[in-house]
Amino acid sequence: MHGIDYLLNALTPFSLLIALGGVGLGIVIGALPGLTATMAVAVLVPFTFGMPPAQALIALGAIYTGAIYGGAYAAILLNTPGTPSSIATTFDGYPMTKKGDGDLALTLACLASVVGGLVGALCLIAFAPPLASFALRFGPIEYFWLALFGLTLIASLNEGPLLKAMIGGCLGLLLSMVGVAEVGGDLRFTGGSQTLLGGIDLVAALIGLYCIPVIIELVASNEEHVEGNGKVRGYRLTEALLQIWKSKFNILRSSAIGTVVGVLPGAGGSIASLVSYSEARRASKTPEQFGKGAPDGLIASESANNATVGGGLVPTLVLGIPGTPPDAVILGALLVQGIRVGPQLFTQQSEIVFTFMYGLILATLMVLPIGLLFGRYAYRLLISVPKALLAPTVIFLTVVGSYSINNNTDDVIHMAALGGVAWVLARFGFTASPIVLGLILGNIAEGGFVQGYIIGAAKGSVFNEFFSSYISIGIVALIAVAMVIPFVKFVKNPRG
Amino acid sequence: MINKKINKNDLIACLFFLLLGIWVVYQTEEFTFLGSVFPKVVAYVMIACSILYVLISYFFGWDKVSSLRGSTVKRFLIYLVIVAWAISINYLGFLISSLVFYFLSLLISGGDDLTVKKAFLYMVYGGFFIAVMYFIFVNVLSVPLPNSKLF
Repeated sequence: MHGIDYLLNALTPFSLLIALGGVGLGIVIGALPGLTATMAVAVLVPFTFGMPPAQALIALGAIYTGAIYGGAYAAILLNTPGTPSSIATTFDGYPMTKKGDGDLALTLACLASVVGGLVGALCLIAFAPPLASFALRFGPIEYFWLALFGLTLIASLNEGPLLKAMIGGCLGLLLSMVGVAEVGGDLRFTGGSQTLLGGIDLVAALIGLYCIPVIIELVASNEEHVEGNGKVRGYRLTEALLQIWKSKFNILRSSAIGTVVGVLPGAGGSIASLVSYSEARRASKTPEQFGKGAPDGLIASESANNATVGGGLVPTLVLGIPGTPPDAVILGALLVQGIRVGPQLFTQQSEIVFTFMYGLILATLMVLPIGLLFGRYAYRLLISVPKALLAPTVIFLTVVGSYSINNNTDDVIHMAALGGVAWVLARFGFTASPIVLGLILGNIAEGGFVQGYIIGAAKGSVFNEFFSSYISIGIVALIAVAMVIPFVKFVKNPRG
Repeated sequence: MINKKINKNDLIACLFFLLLGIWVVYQTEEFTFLGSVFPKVVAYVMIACSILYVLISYFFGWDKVSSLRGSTVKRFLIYLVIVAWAISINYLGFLISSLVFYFLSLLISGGDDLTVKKAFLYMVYGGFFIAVMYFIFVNVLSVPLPNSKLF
């Protein structure tokens, strides 16, 4: 069989229908704060057991794609990442909504998601085996350096003095260490509370840190929640397409970053979107606009997180190692279907795997009409809802969303507490983004460091172990480059 | 021009993070070596940044204190509602706590133009929304929302 045959297989009415339904359901679940793409795939996976294998995979891929894109709705309209992958979308998406450009932001997010998703899916088709072998070269030390590289983004996400951002980053790192240590089993910073034994859930923390301060200010303020007299200006598709064309290098770079980060097991959409956002800001001629409603920031985040869908499936299908958490659920579904993952999958069961890949492309394309349609009505709904009704509804969503992560009321309390902390810190000039970055990367950095240390100690040289691979040296070089510009800026203007 | 007026907010914040860093270092004494390395390093960086920030502000000028706009009472009340909502969900159950605190937050965020008629109408919308979400979470997404322990 050839590519065209697989494409025709994926183009059957049944495949198209399940791709359409999967994308729609994924968008709805992903749009609800607290309900992640992993949950969307996990909840809907039993419905695929009765389907033929290729169609079951298409359905799961479509749900996953839809959910990742759906996370942008809450991020853009409510300043709450619907899924962790949409963290960076809040930085410019919500300011655009505040300025009355929420409709444009949603259309841009849709277009960027489609482009990013297509790049990821095409890379999956073209480069799956070589990309998977690259991912295998990443050990704990490489992850440690990668996490440190991620922490250099603090300088890019910083909206005030660099030192304040660094303090915020440290706070996030310390929050990530709360609970039982992964290596050694130490009980750290729980204050004797049993509810903190398992640590602080990332999604609950995200909801609290980003959403609660916005609600508090929304209620306290006498101004309307959206500027521009609440006008809806349609899809603004031409404007969005022109913007996408202007940002073509940004979108391609971000999609490539998203694909590569997706390939790395455990990294995921949140890191991909943050790295892409940072690189977009670094490359921009107007970096000062980032964080104030710059379309480039939104485009970078959304194209990168959707590119992780295809990227994450590379190690899942080739090696049987899930690239992202939803891939772990998809891997389970593959086993239920009797599909044996590994390099032989591409030769012995090529019909299934390639039909799925082409199906993923079709599902990504379906995000365009469904996303545009949903986006238009979601924005219209937001601006037509009175503030008196909006605030209680958003609080309700934060409560139910943070509860449903682990079906645990402790997560709701953590969310509320962190929300209060974030509001107080914002009053003192500390923004949420560096805290979140520390919270995300803390476990990866510490886990990698400790494991690398143990391996190095066993070999007799810890230092050599940390610089033993070309990948490690390459990432260390990137860290050095990433730190040069903020350092020079800091020396020139210590108050900046 | 350099702002020599001390920003008390910044000073308090840096003092807080300095003390937090010291507390973390103190706590790490009880941990194993591998469990203490990372938090200790992070705490030292936090302490260093806090001291450096105060020194730089002292020599190069402080940030101006930004003023709050809007109602502080409303801020306090809405946060109180959020916390009470989070705590009560375990005792009152999901449905009752949601209806009670939805209504309270509606009253707080309503402002002066919230008439009795509007409040009633919004509560009907809110009640319908909560019921729909309850149905979706329990029956479609299989999320077991908590029931009341008191009734």
